[in-house]
Amino acid sequence: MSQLLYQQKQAWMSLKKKVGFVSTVVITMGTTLGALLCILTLGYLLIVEPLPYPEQEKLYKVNHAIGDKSGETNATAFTYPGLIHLYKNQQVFDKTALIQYGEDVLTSLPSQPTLSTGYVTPEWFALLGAKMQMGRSFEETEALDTFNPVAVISYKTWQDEFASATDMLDKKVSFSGVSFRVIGVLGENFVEPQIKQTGRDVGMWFPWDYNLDVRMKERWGNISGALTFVGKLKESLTAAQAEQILTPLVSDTWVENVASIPFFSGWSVNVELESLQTAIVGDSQNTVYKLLAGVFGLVLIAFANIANLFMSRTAEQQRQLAIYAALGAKKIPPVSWLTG
Amino acid sequence: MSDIKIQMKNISKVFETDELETHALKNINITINSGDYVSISGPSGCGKSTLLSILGLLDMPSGGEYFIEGTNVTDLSLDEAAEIRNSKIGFIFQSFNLIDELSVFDNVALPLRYKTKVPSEKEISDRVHECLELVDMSHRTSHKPNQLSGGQQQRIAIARALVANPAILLVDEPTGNLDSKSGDQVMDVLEKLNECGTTICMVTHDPRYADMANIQLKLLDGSILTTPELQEAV
Ligand SMILES: Nc1ncnc2c1ncn2[C@@H]1O[C@H](COP(=O)(O)OP(=O)(O)O)[C@@H](O)[C@H]1O
Ligand SMILES: [Mg+2]
Repeated sequence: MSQLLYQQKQAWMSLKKKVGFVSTVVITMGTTLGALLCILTLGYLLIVEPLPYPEQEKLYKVNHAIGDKSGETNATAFTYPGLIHLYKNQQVFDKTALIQYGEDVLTSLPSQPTLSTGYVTPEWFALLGAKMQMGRSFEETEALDTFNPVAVISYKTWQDEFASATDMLDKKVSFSGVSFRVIGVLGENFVEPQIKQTGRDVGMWFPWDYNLDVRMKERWGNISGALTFVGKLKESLTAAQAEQILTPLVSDTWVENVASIPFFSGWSVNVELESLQTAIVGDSQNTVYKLLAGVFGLVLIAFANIANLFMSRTAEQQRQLAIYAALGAKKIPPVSWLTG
Repeated sequence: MSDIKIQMKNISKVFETDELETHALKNINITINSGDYVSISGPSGCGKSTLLSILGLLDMPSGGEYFIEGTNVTDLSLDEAAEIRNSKIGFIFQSFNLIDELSVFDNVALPLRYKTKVPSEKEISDRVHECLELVDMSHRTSHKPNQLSGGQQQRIAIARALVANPAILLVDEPTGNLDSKSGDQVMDVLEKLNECGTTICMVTHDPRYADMANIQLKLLDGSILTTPELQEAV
């Protein structure tokens, strides 16, 4: 038996006598390190790599904050014509997409399911790097004011409502009296950014022209929370610079167009850019930081406790260490009280 | 001709506490020859344990010089002291100081395992059994110390002290925790060992046991009272 083996055996024997000590150490370290690992993983997912989109750090959601006379924000939502004006005239984004969220009944199926619907300009799927299961997503042929009655269906809806039909691209679907031809099924891996509401996935996508707010097309005095603007910021600009450029572009036009409505006199618009990450992940990053701080505290407390345990065990072993020293063991300070 | 095992020249020890200096040992001169049986006795607090600690390299003297088998061991590093303790000194304590987790065999084998060059398992086993034989305990090798009587434990401790062939056995009140019968047995073992040539230096209260030694030192207030002519003692 080698010296090392002998020492291992001796250590093991003395630990076997201290089941309480060993299990306390193992359980404490196990739970705290487990908790630390969980929170670190959560933190990595939420802070370091939150979204599955290409160049996600350049993706922004534009907020349209309408301020009253006192300068205080009265509402944060777009007007329909204001949104179109921004879409057509902005210069700060390489690529932009309009999204409107709604809900409609799929009347062409016997079960008549109610689906979450999304109405988008064609850049939307390219911005998100969406891959298709079959067919295509929207292109120039579905650009603003083309009124092309086609639809893109989500993978899940394709599975649930159409039993993964292989001839999906030949099918027609009817919503609100309009018949749409299905031109594509989104890939299984496509994850929709849940900008509006967590846990609500769009089942059927349509060209922007069919959106449900279209009756507000000329109304500068009406706002809708369903109108959404997302863009990929140009390399050369910061979000703050973009806000400074966009605010007068949007605000001046809006003020001009509501000049006839006395209620809005003195009001203005402030454009704010919110990174898609914040828009989706939101406050949970703060929560993660707090959790992280908490779990670190926990680990520190655990370490302190275990250090204490070890210290009291060492004190307990003092006599033994002294004996070993007297017999010629090195690495142990000789303790002379054995002879006292 | 007797060769010198231990020599102390003008050894002193001062304990310095906050406001107090205790002169535990003053100008101690001792020479112990091979085969000597030395007893050190004296009232409590006179410095017996301090002297034994310094003899055993568990503590450093404040002044003087100390030789073991001709080697100056006055100023050693901790590791060097540990090596000398291991190879030249066997300790026997009042409270036995066996390791409860280890078997009798492993307790006795301990000093061999701390040797710079660890002997083979076979050599260890042979030597351990030889020493257990000497103290008449070879029938208890796999017991744990707490399964033995006090006298038996002390005899195991003696076997452990002998196992590495030390130059001298240092014994601190070996019978202090024993009833008189077990104490006598232990003293018999020590006497037998001495007759076979083992050098022993023993601290004891008991005048009866002190008389068994051929050299009797009396310590009082850190000084040796009577210094017999040591060189002529054998
Ligand atoms: N570590 C120490 N620190 C301070 N004083 C000590 C220490 N060890 C022993 N002494 C003192 O040295 C003197 C001798 O003690 P000791 O050698 O233990 O006596 P004995 O073993 O003969 O009873 C005593 O006065 C004791 O108080
Ligand atoms: Mg003492």
